[in-house]
Amino acid sequence: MLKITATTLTLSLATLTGALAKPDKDDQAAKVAVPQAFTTNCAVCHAMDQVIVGPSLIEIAKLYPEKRKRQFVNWCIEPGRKRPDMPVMPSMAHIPKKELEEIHKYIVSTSEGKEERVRTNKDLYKESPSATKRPRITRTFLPETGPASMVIALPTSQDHNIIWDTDTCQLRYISIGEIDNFPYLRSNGNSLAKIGKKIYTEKPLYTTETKPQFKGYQLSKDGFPTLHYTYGKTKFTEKFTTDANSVTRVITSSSSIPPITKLEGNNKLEVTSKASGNTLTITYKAL
Amino acid sequence: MKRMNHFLKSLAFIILSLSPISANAEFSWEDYYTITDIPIDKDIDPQIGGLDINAKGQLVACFHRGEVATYHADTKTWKTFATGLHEPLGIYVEKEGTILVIQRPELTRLHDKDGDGVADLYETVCSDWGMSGNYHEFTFGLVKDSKKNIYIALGTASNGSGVRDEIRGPWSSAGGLKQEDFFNKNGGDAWNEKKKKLPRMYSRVPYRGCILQIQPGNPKAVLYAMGVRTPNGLYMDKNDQLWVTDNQGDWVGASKIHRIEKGGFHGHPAALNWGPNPPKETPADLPVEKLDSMRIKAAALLPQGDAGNSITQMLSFSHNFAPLSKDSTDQQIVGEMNHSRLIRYMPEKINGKQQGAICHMVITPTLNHGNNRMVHSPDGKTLYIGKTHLSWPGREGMKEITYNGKPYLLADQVKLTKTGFKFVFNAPITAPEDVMRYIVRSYGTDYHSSYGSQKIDDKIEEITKVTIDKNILTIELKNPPVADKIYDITLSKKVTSNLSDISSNRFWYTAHEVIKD
Repeated sequence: MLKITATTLTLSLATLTGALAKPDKDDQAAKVAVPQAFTTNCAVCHAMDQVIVGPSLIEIAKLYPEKRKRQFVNWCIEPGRKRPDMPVMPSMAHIPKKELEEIHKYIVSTSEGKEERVRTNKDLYKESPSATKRPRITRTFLPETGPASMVIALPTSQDHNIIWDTDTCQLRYISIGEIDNFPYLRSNGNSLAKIGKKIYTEKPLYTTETKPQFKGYQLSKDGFPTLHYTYGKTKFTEKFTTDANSVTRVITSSSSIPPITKLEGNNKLEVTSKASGNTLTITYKAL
Repeated sequence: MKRMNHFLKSLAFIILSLSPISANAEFSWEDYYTITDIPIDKDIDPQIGGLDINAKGQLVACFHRGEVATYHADTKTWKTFATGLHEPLGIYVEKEGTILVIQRPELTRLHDKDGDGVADLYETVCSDWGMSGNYHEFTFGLVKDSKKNIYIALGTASNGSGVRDEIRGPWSSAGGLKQEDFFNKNGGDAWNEKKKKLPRMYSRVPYRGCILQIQPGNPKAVLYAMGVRTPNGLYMDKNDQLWVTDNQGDWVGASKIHRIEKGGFHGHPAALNWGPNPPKETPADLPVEKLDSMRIKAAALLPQGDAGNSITQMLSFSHNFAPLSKDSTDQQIVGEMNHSRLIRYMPEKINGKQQGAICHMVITPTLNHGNNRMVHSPDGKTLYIGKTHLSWPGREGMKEITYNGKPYLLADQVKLTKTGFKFVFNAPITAPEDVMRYIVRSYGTDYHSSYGSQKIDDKIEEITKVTIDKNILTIELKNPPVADKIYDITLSKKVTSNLSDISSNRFWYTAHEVIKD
């Protein structure tokens, strides 16, 4: 009697959920059916033969063959960072161990005899105007400066780049050549952009305890920036322009320009400065 | 009989775990919704961080690589308004025509002073928060209340990686952890070893894991609320109530919909470093009982994988986007990164506490994953969706989903009763009264420092009675609902009406409170 009730129940629930629908031909061909937990939790990142977010099933099966089932389950529960170019997998602790074992069995079985497709790591937008035009400002994570810095990419013959820190309101250094922001983008911020070749580092212009406040920037019709910041109540602007071989930086102040640190050029860049009233003009000339 | 019960439960578990349960084979969403792609210029990396509509009814989006652009539907092209922004994740078109964008380092107001259609002044409105340089410190936004206060949310850092030498803001050495303890200079195994001493998600520079209020004309931000992890969705309702979504992880057993309380602690401990009484120890090392007693529980929990996985932006639910009855107000629509569907939240207040039910809609592969940002068309019939992945699961591009106005059967409201649940439909229904055609499962989630949560005390509830009365379906349970549980309810697919079969038959009800005598 109990048996009959149980069978009836099975049928009712099957009708209800559609869960016991017959597998299609592909499923029948596979050695192990796709576990539902795989579809819900894994498939979005792990494809059969190529990297979409995480490694392919083929690669996972190589790393965790049948005999390494236990290690697979442990990794899923407590994953770490193995690959600098991929995000860390979230823990799958919400999936019961038994189901993780089923997922492992499925991965090993379904990937057998299949071959990996090579991943392309090309920057598809490398040539886009917003990544190449000069002058332009690009804000990203840059080396040897604060985390809220920007590149002012200027149209000189050597492609000079000003690395400017919006927290200290300082020109930190100058580089030449194209900026490559793809390392930052690919790693979602875990790597820094490449800045070309660094040719000059600048010390802070002023020695003051007052913390500056960045206020933003204006762009001229042809894209040259004027930066705005304050030291206390004193307002400053910095305007960048170029000719073929030099960058001119004109700093204006709403009061007088404080005394500045001595600027020293090098064999790549001649640096000269001239103060006049509330204006300081610094010229960086390529040598 | 006890063994029999166990057998039945196991059987139901097996069936549940095999079933694509919230889909309905008889109901096709694409009979009601047309889903098309909005083309994005080939020069733009089509990952969308923010989406809004301007006064002309045009879409305005910000993109992964820092562009802001406006869509011209007549030519199907985008006109670039601004470039060079740092991972913008929120946009707001102001009445004055200016555009607010939230970037990693600052809130920026874009002006077009000369009126040539291109931004020429990038005004820094506020940058009053810390940056450790950790990749996971995203800055999310962006909503305004009726008093023009702006709200943003700061993501926590991840011990998937470290911090930089140069940081912005003072370092918190809570628990004796210095900045150099967080340096990841060699990566790989060295970092995996080093990070064992560190909390999973951390907040070592100001206000990470907090919600900030930015008042008009004041560059100093106000700490509005604490305790979020990855708050990738802000929503301001018509009563100036702020709602924020959060992603599953440590201290977030399931993705959450938070109803934010000013000055409140919403559960992720990292942010306590910036509260009025910062602890001496690493906040994640505080006794769980203490943290649990301090926290404001989320209005709705979305169990991982089943109900939601990395949920995104929330919007008020447009009555022109679905055949929702006029009485069902204050519902919300929520995006999700990892599944091809949208989420609907049906709020309910019990004993003064906010809770309610979740269900799915527009469940179709045509929608695809990565549904990060959303905005309704001015007439509310269309939902525009901007996608992203940021190297995680997700997709790219933009979709336009238009409801054709043809009514279909849906549960308007889900209400907790003293003995079970009441479903109010938008049309009279016929449905089986056989209790075996319905499943109610109940479980809790962990509040702990590990990632996510198992289903705690997961069990099938015995249904004693199912009643159908016009448009109302009532489920009565042998054991009345108890507090602090999620009820995962699957209705029979045979629930039908003159309009259509039931469109979505699985619901997750978060019961912090139950109805008392």
